[in-house]
Amino acid sequence: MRRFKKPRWALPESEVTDENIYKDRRKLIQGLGLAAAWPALSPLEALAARYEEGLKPTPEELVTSYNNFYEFSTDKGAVRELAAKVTLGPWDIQVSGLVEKPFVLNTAKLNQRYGQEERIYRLRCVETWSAVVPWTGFPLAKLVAEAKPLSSAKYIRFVSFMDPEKAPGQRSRSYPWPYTEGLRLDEALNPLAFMATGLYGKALPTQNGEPVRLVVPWKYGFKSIKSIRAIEFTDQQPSTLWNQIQPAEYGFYANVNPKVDHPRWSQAQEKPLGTWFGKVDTLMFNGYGPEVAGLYQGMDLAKYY
Amino acid sequence: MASWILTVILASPLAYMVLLTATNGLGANPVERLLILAGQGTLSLLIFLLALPGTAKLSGWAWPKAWMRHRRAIGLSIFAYASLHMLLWLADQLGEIDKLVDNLARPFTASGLASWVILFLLAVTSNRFSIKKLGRRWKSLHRWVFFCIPLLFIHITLKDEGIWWSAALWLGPISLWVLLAPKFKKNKPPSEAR
Repeated sequence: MRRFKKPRWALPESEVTDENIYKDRRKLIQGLGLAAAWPALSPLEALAARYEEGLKPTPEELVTSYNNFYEFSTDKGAVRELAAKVTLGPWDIQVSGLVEKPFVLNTAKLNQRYGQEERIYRLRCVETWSAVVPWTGFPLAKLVAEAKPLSSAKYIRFVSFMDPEKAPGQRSRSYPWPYTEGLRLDEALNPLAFMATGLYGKALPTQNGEPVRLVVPWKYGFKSIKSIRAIEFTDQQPSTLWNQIQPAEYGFYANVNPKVDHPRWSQAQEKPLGTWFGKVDTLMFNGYGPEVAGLYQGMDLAKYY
Repeated sequence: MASWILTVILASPLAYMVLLTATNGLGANPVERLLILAGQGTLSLLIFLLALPGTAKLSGWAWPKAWMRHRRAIGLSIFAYASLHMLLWLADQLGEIDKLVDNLARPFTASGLASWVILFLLAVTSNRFSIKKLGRRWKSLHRWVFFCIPLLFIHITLKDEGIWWSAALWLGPISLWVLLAPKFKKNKPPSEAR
């Protein structure tokens, strides 16, 4: 079974940065003489530069200066500045619903509780831009295992924060705040489904969804809900914010699929952040087909977009 | 003075785009940013143009009256920004040129394209020859500019995932002004009101 082999998408164990090296990274990089060439090169970027699949992280500046976070602004370039003065976490996440053991998770203790690993994932926004982001965090499956879902649990519902004083976008009544998202339980258990507490070797900045966010790399970015406050196991497919606003454009599944167009544009290609006109072909399931295609066997992906 | 200020108004969206480009200020998705700026430039100048007749008539100020004589230049500038907006979009489609017709036929893009076609027709008939040749029909043709308002309302609303308040903020006030301004009487000869 594939599960017991090293997954195709993983960084090899040998590539994981030893904690002591990580703590000494400035010295290490200087020692390697890299500092002059790449003053901002983090250990993760250095790792990725050697990564066999050739996934080269997008420059950190682009990932942290441009993204959708409608809680702050609908202008992707304005989010960072609006979020700069704001700290959202830490807080207690309620894990509840159809589980044997509802519990409370303090976001400050997530790394201690679940450990920390690194994942370099493609990120594909439904708006046709894309990035490669080195995340740190833990597999969502670890959290699910601790919650022990009942056999009646079929879905997980994620709820983000609600604080219009900190997040000016939440003062708009056009959106049914707080942001909600959901996964099927088997999707959540897939080893790729990830809870990120950091990127580029640092804690998540506010604009990227601190203190903890979901990362589901085979789905469009809006599924990867930011700044999670509550996690609930349900037997019904949860309603999700974008699906409520525009069901014709944003389905529950939202798997990256170059063959199923958005009503307003083709999804066949994407533009990596930082490029002008150089679009690249979008990959089925954002390149993670071998790991996740089985979840959707027999489903009409044009219908369940 | 008035025409110098008009030149500044017409050039300012372009100047801002050039400034951001030159200073590396377009951000992570530069073409998208330019596309948005060209669209906003088109819209702003269109609103400016449509507001002129009523303002000139009702205010009695000298500048709007002077600018009324430059409506061709304003209209051609609007067409230029609309064309830049469309060209940037087209340049982004080159990788999948086989899907161009499909991608143009979507309500979102089609509403923008239809507005551009109107502006194109008005631009190519904005010369003296066309005015003479078309006679009375020239005026009715150039009233088509008002069709751009509902078309762009659709365009902006679709851009905003069906949420229409931003489109209403852009286009609501000018629609009211265009509809209501002629209803207010001002002691001016009718020829000036046109």
